[in-house]
Amino acid sequence: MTPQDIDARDVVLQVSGLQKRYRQGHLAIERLSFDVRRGEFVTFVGPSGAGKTTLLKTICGLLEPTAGRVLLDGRLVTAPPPEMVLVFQDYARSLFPWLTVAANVSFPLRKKRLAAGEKTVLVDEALTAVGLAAFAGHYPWQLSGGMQQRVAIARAVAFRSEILLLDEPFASVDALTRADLEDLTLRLRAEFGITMLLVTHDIDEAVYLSDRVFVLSPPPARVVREIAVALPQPREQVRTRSDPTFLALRKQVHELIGKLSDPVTDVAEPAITNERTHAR
Amino acid sequence: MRPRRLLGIATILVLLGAWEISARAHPNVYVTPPSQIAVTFVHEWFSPQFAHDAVPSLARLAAGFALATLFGVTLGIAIGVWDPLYRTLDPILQVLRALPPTAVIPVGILLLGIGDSMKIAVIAFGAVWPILVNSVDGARSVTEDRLDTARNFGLSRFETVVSVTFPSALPQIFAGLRIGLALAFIMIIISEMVGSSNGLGYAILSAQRTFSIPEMYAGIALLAILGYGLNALFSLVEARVLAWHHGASAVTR
Amino acid sequence: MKRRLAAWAPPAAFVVAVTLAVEALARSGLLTRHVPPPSAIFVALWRELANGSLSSQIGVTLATWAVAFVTAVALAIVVGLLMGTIPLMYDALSTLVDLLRPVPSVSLIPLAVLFFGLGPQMRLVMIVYASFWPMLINTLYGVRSVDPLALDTARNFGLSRLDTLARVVLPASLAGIATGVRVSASLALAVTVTVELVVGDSGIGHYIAQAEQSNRIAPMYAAIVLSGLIGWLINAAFSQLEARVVFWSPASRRSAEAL
Repeated sequence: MTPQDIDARDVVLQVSGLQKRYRQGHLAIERLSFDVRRGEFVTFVGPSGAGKTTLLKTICGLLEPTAGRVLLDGRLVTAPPPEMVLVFQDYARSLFPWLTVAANVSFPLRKKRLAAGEKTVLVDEALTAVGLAAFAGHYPWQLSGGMQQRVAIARAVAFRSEILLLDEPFASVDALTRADLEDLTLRLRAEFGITMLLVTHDIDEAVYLSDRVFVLSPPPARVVREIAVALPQPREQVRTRSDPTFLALRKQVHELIGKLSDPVTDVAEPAITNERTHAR
Repeated sequence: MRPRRLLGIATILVLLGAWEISARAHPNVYVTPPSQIAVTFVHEWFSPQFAHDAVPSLARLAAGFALATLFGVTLGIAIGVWDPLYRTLDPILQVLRALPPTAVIPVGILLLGIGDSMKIAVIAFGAVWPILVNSVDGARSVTEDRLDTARNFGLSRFETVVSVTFPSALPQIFAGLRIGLALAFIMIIISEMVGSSNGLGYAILSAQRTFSIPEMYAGIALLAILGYGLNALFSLVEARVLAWHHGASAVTR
Repeated sequence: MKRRLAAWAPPAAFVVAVTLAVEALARSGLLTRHVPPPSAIFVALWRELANGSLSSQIGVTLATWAVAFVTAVALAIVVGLLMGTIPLMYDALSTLVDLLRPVPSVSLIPLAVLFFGLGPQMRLVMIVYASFWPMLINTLYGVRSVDPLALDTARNFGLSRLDTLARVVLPASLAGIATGVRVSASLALAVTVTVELVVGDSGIGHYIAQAEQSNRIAPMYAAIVLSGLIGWLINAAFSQLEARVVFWSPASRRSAEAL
């Protein structure tokens, strides 16, 4: 599947009126509605603390919404469905340090009642897809941060996840690794037809990767603007990022978010671009 | 060998030498020179005496400690993962583990007599609390991301406990097991001193009461070696089982 | 206040339920006579405390505990600071410490009896010896966790060795010392009761052994319950103290907890 094949009528995920209020009364997301098409790359960008993690956890059924609903292929999501897998920002805490890389990747497969041979094939294929075939016998903590995040992604690929929910997955790695991982997700989408939902506070990343960008407001999160990214495929780090369309879109999102975080009322979050340096 | 280690060994040799010389220079029935203890040790313990006293002690210890581990870890994980159970039992555990464990030995004697079952029971009772409390804490400190990962992949609650919570809690469980092992050793010695007709605790106390002083020293030496050896064996097992944990924490440090 | 009540309700209800169940079973004669009804234990506890036969033994136990515990703590802090700050001392003694620490202290009871008899002196020696080790290990752990940068700073400001010890090393080691104090306090009580039980001629442990031998079942249980409560109070008090001292580093609470 290539992004050009996306059928506007083939909606895989329908989110309507989604609201999440925590027990303490704090409202994290407020009345979010959007559709995602099969094979699409959709990004949510917004200031940190905007409830982006809560949004992903609510979509994949790890958190229960206080109002609204999520439909996956027309079915109501009430518990984590096997078609959606969340990739956490903190790979060190979602990978199991007592398992090897291969065992981490095959960890969720025990639920699939596969023959041992089939499992091995799935694991090998997923590790090859993320470029870690040579590291199957290593432990996650013996690998660099970027490689660990690849393991987490391979785990979702081996699980034959149809939708990947990426929660700032590249926030904890250096810039070069980050570019590698970005291109890896694009490749996996093309190769396996996986639908991608990414949340990030990195505007460049959002524009570079996505078919559509949703700009979120400061909490409680609402969709402020939906922006279609009319950049040619396949994307390529240097060429795409110097495309005038890219620059224009980037400027548009920047200005939107700049307006949203009013420097007087929002002292805690002075500027989006500073966030990276504070993140870790 | 590094010179620092040599200095440490030299200290021990000097102390042993001083003990030997002073014991020979001023003979005293209560103080046996180390060389004579060594001779008695070989004579006493490289003999059927070992099967008569040391083997029963070690067998009771193994049985009691195994029982404590089984109970402590399963019950501890159950309490740790199930909140109503935690809220009900945790304050009670805190009181029970503060009870000086040897105080229950008389109860054991009353209920079970002075046989092996009494000793195994009191060893298990003495060792179980740190194992239990550490298992509870370990199970409760599993990070949310790990639990979410398991739930995301559709693992049932039971599968999550077995394949995520339990391994996550292992480092803390081992900390509890180490303390539990030390307590089990104390319990076996005391229970054999108080109510027994064999075993190492019985052997050293009766040696003292019959003024067989070198035999008493040799018995204490055997207990010391066993205590040291068990601790070393435990460290070996821990290093193997928790290799992933030591590796991972060495990286983040 | 309301929250505290809610926290205590489930365990209290559980204890009451178990107590009532044991009471019913014991009264119905389904248990051996070696498990008396809890009410009989409480009556015995009250009677023995009121007539002084148990309360005097508590006094003996607590006095022994306090003297031995304070001695062990003082000794271990001095040795720990010396070993922690003078490398030569550390090199000379650490192997000895590694060798002696895993040796079960109670195996030395016959030796202590040989030299010091059955009286209070023997007990003091045993308790000091046993509770010295966790205190020493935790003090060492604390001293060796002192930031080398802090030591350099002190030297830079021209502090003397003693000043550095008092103003930099000791405060920085407090977390480890506080943990050691808590662990040693509990261990010292356990050893006190143990030694009294095995070879003592007084104290709560001796009382328990005597009650068992003379078949005074309910008083025996009463004394065990009481020793548990004392142990819990001591542990709670020193945990509070530790929390005050190391409020800045919760992680250090579980450091080096060894017997």
